[in-house]
Amino acid sequence: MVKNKLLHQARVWSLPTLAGAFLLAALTLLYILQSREQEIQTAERDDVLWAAYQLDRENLKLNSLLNRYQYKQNAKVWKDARTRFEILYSRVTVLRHGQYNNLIEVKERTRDLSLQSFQIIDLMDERFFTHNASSPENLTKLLQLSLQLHRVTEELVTTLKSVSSQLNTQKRQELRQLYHYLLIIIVLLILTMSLIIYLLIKKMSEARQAQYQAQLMATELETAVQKAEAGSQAKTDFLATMSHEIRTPMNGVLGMSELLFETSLSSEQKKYTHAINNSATALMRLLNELMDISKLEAGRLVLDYRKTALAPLLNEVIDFFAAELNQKPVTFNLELAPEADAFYNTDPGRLRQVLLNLLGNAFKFTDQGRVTLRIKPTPEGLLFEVEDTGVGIDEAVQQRMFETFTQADASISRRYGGTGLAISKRIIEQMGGAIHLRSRLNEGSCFYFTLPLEPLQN
Amino acid sequence: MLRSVFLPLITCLLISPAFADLPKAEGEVLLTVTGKITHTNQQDTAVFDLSLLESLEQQEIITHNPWFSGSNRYYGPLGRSLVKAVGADFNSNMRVTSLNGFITEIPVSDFVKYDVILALKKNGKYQRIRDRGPIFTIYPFDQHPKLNTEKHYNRSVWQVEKIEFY
Repeated sequence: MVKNKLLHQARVWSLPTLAGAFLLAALTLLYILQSREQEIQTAERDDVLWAAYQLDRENLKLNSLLNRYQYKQNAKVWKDARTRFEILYSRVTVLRHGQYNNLIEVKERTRDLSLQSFQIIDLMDERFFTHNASSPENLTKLLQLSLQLHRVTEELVTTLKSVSSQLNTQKRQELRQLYHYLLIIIVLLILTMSLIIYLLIKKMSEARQAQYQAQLMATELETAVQKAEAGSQAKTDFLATMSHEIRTPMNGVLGMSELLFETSLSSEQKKYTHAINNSATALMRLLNELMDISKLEAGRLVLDYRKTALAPLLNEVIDFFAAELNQKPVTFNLELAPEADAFYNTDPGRLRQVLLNLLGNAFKFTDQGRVTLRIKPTPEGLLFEVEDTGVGIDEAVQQRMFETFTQADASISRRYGGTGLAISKRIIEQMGGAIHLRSRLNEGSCFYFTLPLEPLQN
Repeated sequence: MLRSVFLPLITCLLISPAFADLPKAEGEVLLTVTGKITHTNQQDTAVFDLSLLESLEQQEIITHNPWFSGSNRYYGPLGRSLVKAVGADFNSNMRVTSLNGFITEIPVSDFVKYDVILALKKNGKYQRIRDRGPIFTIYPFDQHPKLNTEKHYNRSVWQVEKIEFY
């Protein structure tokens, strides 16, 4: 699992890392190219070439001046020739002392030629500074030297030029190679970037698809819920209508069976009439409960709040079970906290209904032992507890106890025979409270609920 | 009477600084300055011999340069002082010609920004033509390392013969 995650992470990060590496490589290459561009070597080489060329050129100028002087012995021309020679000499120092001395020694031949030119110029220098420098013999000698220098410098220029070209070509090739690498890296970079962009777009469209699916599902669910609600509503409406419709003839049956008692009947007839009356009463109760449920479902249960004394209401409820107490070895305790014995603003009918239901269940499922009704005030309101030492309820089924038409299990359902708990839950909730249950199988149960009630001041 | 004498004199004094002629060059002419200048000494040009050049504000620069090994001591008139002497505009440009006909353009602003000198002496000795004299434009390369570029090497003209302001 961890390994998988790591692998996934590695895959996620591999592309950006690759792109970053390519970018770095491209930048490095660019930097190298930039520094190559700034290398002054090329310029220096050109300077040497330029100096050699200038040497050649100055020599030609000197040569022409000396020639002119040979034809026309003119002091001005001689002076010009001297100046020209000085300039020529300065060119040699450029070649001799310049900081690019090392460059001129790139090739044996260029060095030889340079040395030769230096020697010739030194000879010329001697001639210019002899006693009768402008004499015809000296002049002829100077012209010869000039011609000699011309041959040397000409070759020097061409040699330097070829060396320079060679170096230039080499350099250019290197540069081209670097540019080539740069191009490859940029192409790779573009490919990686494109892949990243493609993956991003893919991921985005996937996310959008998923969102769309989720929306679709939500819509479907909503329709399903609406349908279910509509179905439930129809059922509730049907139940309400049917209960109401059946109650009318049932009242007839009840009334008639009671009237039948008034007549003279044989003992056997009396027994049957009693059975009819009991069945009708049971059916009537069931119908009433059904009515309650449908009203609650539809939210049409209207509470009738009024000032109610708690103690008399409790006594009324307890009286109802007096007969049952005599039939079983069960004791009943009412624990009403003194501070809870007061008047409250509540619906006495519905409260009675809830207590009757819970106590009825307690008595029903307790064959021996104790049933306790405990009422005490708490910060949240009035706490009602109905505790018994009966069969208890399995923890697994406790959750579903309060659902409509559901009981703990089939066997309890049969003995339970009603929908009382669900109705009680709804009533308590409508009154602003909540019902809970704690129970242990074979040890007993305790249903308890809190209603937000406060004692009225007289 | 007095007034007729003083008025031209005062006028002359007021105007003279701006149009004062340069002293005549007595010796061999080393430098000829032409173009947009206001102070002249030979028709509309200004010619300088050695003593005239040395009468300008002098400056010493010790620096390396690409043409000589090691650092050398150069001495000569400040470029600025020449510009002032010929009355040229500090926003103008110079076309500098050397003895061998090499021409370079230099903005006068270079002379304002840096202590550029027209070196006459190198290590205490006058420069001969063969030493790339008599006038060598020296930039203070060591003092301003950013001047060590091809551009300024090119402006560092040797064997200066003529300067034309334009």
